[in-house]
Amino acid sequence: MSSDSNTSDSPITAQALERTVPRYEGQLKHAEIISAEDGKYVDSRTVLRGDLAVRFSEAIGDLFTHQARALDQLAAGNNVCVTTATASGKTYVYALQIARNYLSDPGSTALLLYPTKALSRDQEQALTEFFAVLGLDLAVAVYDGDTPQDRRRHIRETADVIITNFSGVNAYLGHHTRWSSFFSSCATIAIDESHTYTGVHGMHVAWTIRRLRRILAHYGSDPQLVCTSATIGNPTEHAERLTGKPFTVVDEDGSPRGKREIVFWKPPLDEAVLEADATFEDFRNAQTNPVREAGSLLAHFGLHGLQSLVFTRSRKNAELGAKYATDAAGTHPRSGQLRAKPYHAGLGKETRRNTEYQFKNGQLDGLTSTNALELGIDIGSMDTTVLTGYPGTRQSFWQQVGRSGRGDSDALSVFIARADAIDQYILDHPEYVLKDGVEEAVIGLENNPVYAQHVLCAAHEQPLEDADREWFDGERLDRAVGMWSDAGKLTGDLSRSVRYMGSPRPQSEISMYATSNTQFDVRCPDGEIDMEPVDRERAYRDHHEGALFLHSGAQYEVIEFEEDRPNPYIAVREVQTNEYTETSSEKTIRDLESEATRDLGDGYQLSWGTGIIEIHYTHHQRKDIRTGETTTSLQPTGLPPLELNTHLVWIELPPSIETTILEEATNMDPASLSDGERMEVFGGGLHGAEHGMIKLTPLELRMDKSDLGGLSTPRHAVTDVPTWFIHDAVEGGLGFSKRIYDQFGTIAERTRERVASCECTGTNGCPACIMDSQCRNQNQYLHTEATVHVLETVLEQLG
Amino acid sequence: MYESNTLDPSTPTYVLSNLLELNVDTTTLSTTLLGYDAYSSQFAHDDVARTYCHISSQLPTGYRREWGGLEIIGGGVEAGYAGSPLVTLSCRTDGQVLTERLQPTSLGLQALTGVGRTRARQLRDAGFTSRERIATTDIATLAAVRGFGRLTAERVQQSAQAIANNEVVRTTEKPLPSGKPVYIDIETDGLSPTITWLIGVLDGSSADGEYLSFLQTDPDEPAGALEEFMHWYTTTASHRPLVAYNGWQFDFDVIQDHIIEYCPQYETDWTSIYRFDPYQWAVKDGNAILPGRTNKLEDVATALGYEPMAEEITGEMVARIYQQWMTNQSSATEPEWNTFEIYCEDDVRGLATVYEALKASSRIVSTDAPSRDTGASTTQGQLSDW
Repeated sequence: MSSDSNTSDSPITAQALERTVPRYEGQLKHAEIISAEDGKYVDSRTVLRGDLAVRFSEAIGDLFTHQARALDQLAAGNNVCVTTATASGKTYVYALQIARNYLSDPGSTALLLYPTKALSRDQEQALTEFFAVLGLDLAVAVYDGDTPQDRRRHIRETADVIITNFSGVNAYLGHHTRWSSFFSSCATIAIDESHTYTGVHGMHVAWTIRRLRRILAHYGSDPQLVCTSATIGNPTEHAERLTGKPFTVVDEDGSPRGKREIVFWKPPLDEAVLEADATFEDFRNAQTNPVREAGSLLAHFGLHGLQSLVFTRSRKNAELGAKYATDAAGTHPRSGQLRAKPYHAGLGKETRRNTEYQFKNGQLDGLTSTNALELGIDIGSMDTTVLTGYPGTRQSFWQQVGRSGRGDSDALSVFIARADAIDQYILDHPEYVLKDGVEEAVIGLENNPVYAQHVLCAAHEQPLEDADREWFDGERLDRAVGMWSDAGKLTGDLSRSVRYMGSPRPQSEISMYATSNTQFDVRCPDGEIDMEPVDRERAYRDHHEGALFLHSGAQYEVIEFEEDRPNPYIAVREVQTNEYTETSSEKTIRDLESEATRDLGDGYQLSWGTGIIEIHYTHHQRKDIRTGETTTSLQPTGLPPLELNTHLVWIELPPSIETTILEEATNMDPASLSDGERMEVFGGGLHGAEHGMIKLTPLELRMDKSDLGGLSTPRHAVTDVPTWFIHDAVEGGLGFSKRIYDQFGTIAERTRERVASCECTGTNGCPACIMDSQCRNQNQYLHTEATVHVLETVLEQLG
Repeated sequence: MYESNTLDPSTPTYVLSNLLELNVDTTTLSTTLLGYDAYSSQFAHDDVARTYCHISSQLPTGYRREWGGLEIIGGGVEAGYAGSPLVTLSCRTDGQVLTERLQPTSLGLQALTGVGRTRARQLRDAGFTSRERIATTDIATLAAVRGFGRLTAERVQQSAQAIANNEVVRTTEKPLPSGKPVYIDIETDGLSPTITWLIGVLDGSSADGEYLSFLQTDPDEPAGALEEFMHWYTTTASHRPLVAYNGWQFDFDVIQDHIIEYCPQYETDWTSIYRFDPYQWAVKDGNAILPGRTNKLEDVATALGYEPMAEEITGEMVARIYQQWMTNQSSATEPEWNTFEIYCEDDVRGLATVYEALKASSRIVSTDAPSRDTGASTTQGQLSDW
C-alpha cells in the first residue's frame, strides 16, 4: 500500500469521502460515528482460583465483566450462552473453564466446535499460546477432514482439547469406540458462533448434537455446554433448541470499543426517466447498480492507498464487483492500476487460498467477496469494508462492518442500499441496525427429512431403545423407526433394541446443508470449471438446459442436464454473450392440512400447516444485460415440476372484501371496473401483501428471504376465497412459516408501514416496497394502495 | 399372471418380478410398497400366495419384509445398469435367498488388471478375444497392440496367466511375514456390526491344521467370543502373525472396536499383534496377481484348488440369521450353529490355501515391473468384491 493513506485527502471518514469521491451526487444519507468506549473490568481473583487468577492477570490483565459473570455461572453448574460483541474475548470464557477443569482433574477433556475449518486452525494456535502463557500443559489439536490419517489416533488418545466442526462430529460418531477415552472424560463442549446454526444447517447441527450427547452419555459423560453467539433476539431459546439443554445467557458487554464511522449510501437514481408505471426492469436500469457503485468505491479507496473488502450478496456479484472496480479505476481522476479479485465458495480451494494469501500480504487493493469471508478467515485487517446491500441480519451487518480497522487507526464502513424493501427501510431508519438486535434465530426441529436421516445414524451408532425417545422427540421416534423398518434399513423394536441394517456408514449420506442428498456435479467437457456441486432446487431454477450463468469471471451455458442417474450432473460450455436468462415458472398449492388455526371473525382466518407446493420451471428466455430486451423466443426447459411437501402459513379473507378494497384504492364505483382492472387492483393488493411480508420477515427472523416463497390469488382452488400463502422453501419445512404465524401482526404492521411510506410514484410499487426480483410473475399486478388497504383491514381484524 | 398347478408344496416357491417398489417418504415418515395392490390381486388364492417368496428386482438386495402377509424379498434394484453390479440370486430349498453381486467389468477381457473398456477394444481389434490367448501369446506381439507398451503388455499377460492357469503370479519380491500364521475369519451381525459372535481360527496348514471356533450364542454377552479368543491367542499363539482376508477393510477394525467397547483389558494385547491382510498385500499393494473370476476369497481359493466342505452361503445371510436371533430368541429363530462353524472353517482353510500359494510362488515374472497401479480399479475392487 502506498504511503499517502494518512493525508487529509484520505477518504477514511464520511466527510473526506463526501469531499473526494468523483462525481458526488448526494449519495451519503447518514453517517454514524461510533465513539470509543471504555471497558468494564473485574479483578480475576474474585472469580478464578488463586494460582490461575495470578497467572491470568499477569499475562492478560483483568477480566471483562461479562467474562466474570459467565465463569461464575459455569462454576454454579449452568450451561452458558455468551452473546457479546465480536472481539470481546468470548473465547476466554471457555478457555478459562477448560483451564479450571484441568487444574481440578488433569484427565478431563474438552471438545470445541467451530463453523469453519479456517477458524479452527486460527483458534488452535491462539489457545495453545493462551494455555502456555497460563503455564498449563494442555494439548490442543484440530481434528477434521484435513488431519492426516497417521496423526488421528495420536490426537484422539492424547489431546486434552480437540477442535473440530459438526460435519466432522457427524462422521466420527460412526466409529465412536475409537473416541472412547476422549469421550468418557469430556467435561466441556464449546460451540463457537452458535448463531450461525439456523435453517437447514441448524437442523442438522441440532440433531448431530443430540447424537453426540447420546454417545457421550453412553460413555458416562454429561459435559457442560458453552455457546458463544452474536446478538440475536432469542439467545436462550436458540441455544436450548440447538442443544436440548437449559441455558443461562450472558449479554452485558464489558469490553472496550474503538472508533469507527458507518456511512449509509444511496446509489444515484435517475428518477426523471421513470414513468409512473415503471417496471422492475426500469428501476433496475434507472438506479446505478449497487455492485457497480461498490466497484467505484473500491477503486476510489484503492487509488488512495486504502485496502478494502467488498461484501456482495451472490457469487455472481462478487465476480462482477471485481470487474467493475477494475473498470472504474480506468476512469478515476487518479487513474492507475488496481488489483482486485473476487472471492466466494464456488471457487476451488486452491484459488481461494491463493487469493487469501495475496490479500493478506498487500498484493491486492481489494476483494469482492460473498459472506464466505464473513466468519473469521484470517486475511488480516483492512481499512474499509463496503456492504452491497443489507446482508440479511443485523448480526451479519455488524460482522461485516467489524472486519475493517487496523489497530487503533480509524475505520470506515459503507453500506450501499439496493433498490429493495429492506435496504430502503434501513436508509429510512438507520437506527434499525444501530440499535439492539431483534432477529430471532430459528431451528425447525419439526423437519422430518432431516430428523429421519439422523435417527438412522443414531441407530447405527448404538442400537435404539425405549429410553432413546428422550433424545429423539418421544413418539415421533416410533414413526421414524416404523418407516425405516419397512424400508429395510432398521430391524427390531424399541422395547428390546432397534438395529441398523443399511449400507455401511449412513453418516456419509448426510449433507449438512441440504435436506436431500441430490446434488449436481458441474462439468465442462471441452474446458475447465472449478465449481462446487449445486443442489436440486437451485439446479432446476438456475441451471436447466440453455441457462446462462457467471462463474469465476467467465460466462457459461448449460448444455446438458442429467438427473436420472446415480450421480446427476450438468455439463456446461464457456460462452461470451451480453445476455442473461430469465426463467418463468408456475406454482400451485394443494393438499393443505392445517395444524393451527386462528379464526379472526367475519370470515378472516389465519392458518398454519402442511401442503404440497408444485413449482414448474417451464420456460426460459434470454434478455440483453443492458436494455432488458428479449433476445430469444421462449424456450421450454424440459424439466418436470418440482414438488415440495412443506409447511406454510396462509390467510383467508371474506370475498366481500374485494368491493371494499376496490372502492378504497381507486375511489371509483367497483361496478364500473372491468375484470382486468379488478384483478389489477384487488389481485395486486393481495400479491403486494404477500411480497411485502416475505420481504420484511427478515427484520424479525434470522433468515434469507429466499428461504420463503409465496402465492396469492383472489380465489384459491382449495380455500375458495381470497387467500395469500407464505411457505418454507425447503422440503419438510424450516420453521419460519410457523414463526410468521405466531408473529403475523408484527410483520404485517411493519409491511404496512414500509409500503405506506414508500416514496415511489404510481401504484405498481417499486423494488423498495413490493416489487421482488425473485417474483416468477415478472411483478405483474402489484398495487401499493390496495396492498396498504388489505393489510389495514387484516390488522384491524387481528385487533 | 400364470400360476402352475403342479408346484411341489414341500419346497418353497419363488415368484420373481419387477412389480414391487419401495417409496420411502421421509416427510410423512412412512414407507409404502408401490404396486402391492395390483400385484397381490393377481394371485387366485391369498393363502397360497402367502406360502410363496415374492422377489422383486426393484427392491434392494438383502431386503426382506412381510407386507400384508406376503414375504417380500429384494432382488437387486438397478442390477447391471450403468456400471452397477449384476446380481445373481440363488433361491434355496430352505427359503433363503442368496444374492451375489458381480461387476460387469470382472467379465471377459476387462477382468484383466489394467484393462478397461478402451484396452479391451484395442485387444479385440488386434484379434485377442480370450484371456487364454493373451496368456500364451508372445510378449512382443502383445506389446505391439495399439495403445500398449511393453510394461502394459507384461502386466496384462501376468494377469491373464494368473486367471488362465489358476495360479498366483508374484509381481514383486516383497517377502511375506515370517512366523507361523494364525488364520482367522469372523462372523458378525451385519456390515455395521455390534457383536463379533464367531471367530474361526485355523492353527496350521490348510490341509491338516487344527480348526478352533470361538462362539458366542448369547447376544447379550458381546464380549464372550472375543475374550476367549484373546485368551487363547495371548497364552498359546502370541507373537505369531494374525492373517485375515480383507482384514484391513473389515475384520481387524471390527475386532478392535469391539475389544475397546466390550473387553478393553485386551486393547494393548490386540494393538500389539502383527496383523496381515493377503488381499491388501496382493491386490491393493500390487505385490501379486490372484487367480479366480473375482478377488473374493471363495473365488480365489477355489481357483487354487480348495474344495469347500459346505454348501455355499454368504456373510450377509449369516448376519441376517443372527440378527433374527438377536431380535427374538426362540427355538424357531435359533441358528444352526454347526453350519456356521463349518462355513467359517471353509473360509479359514481357503485363506490358508491362498496364503500358502503366495508363500510358494517365488516365480517373479518381471523384476522390473513397477508396483501395479492401484488407482481406479482398486476402488471398484473394494465395492464389487465386498
